[in-house]
Amino acid sequence: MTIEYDILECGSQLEQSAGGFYGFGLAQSLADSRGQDALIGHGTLYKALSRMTVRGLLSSEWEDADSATLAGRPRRRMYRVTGEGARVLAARPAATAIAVGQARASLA
Amino acid sequence: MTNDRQSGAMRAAARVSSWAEFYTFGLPDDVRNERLDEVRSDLHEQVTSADGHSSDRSLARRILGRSIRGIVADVSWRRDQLRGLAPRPLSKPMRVVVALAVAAGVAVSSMLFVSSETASSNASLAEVQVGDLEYQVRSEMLFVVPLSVQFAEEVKEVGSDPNYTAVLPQEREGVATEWNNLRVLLSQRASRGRSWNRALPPTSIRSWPAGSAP
Repeated sequence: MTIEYDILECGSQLEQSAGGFYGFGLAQSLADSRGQDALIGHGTLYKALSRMTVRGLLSSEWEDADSATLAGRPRRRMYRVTGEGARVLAARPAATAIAVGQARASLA
Repeated sequence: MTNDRQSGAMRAAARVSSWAEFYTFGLPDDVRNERLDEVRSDLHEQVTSADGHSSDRSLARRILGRSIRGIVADVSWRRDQLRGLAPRPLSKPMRVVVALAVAAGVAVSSMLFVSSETASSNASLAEVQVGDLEYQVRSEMLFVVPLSVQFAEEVKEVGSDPNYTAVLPQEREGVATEWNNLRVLLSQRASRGRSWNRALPPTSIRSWPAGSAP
């Protein structure tokens, strides 16, 4: 569940600042939070997002194609953390949260 | 970012897009199109968001590296979609097989040479041309191994499933075409002698047989 927790945590933060999040932005945020330079693999990321959407932890909606065209880029699939996702994140085992916190502190 | 600096990254992105077309081949249209759109959006964002200090070659390697690191998950996701299952982890034997294939891909990509030619900054992925022989050889090698492993595993796991049987001939032809492409490229390289930057007339990376292109 580590990657799921990380996605829920980073996704929640991105959602607060931008109202939602999309794949590449999430990949950058995950790398920053882990103190890594390399971004998560496409397959790993989108398989996890797919799995979490199926399980109701995330909801997703495709961006309007016209607005994406105006912005000069392909449309993004925007994700949000659902209530169930927030509940799962809040109920994250303490050991996981502590381990993640220690890892990040050691990288800081 | 200049056009020259972007071209190698664009070609890497096009190769990754081509890989996504393969591993989504034969899946339901909605599933396939959603994955392709999402991957292409991601590739576009990565290419256009690169900071000015990243070299084109570095960015190309980062893009290919992300693809390689996700190949196991790509294969696993495809298998689950073919079986109509929710995504789940690969079995241990399959992980070993795919990991070996990925290791081979990484070994090849470590030698990857990305030149800075062709591909304007606003070209779509489908328009990107691959003109460098070494790049073509190595990128073909990079993907043909996991492609073949994936195909063999599919035949073994779901080869008797009617949904899969329908797409089997086209998929077999696609794999055969990729191997033939590699054979032709190696033959061309052998006839020209080993070189790091030997230009060929631009060749589209999309090389599926007519009528079976995904």
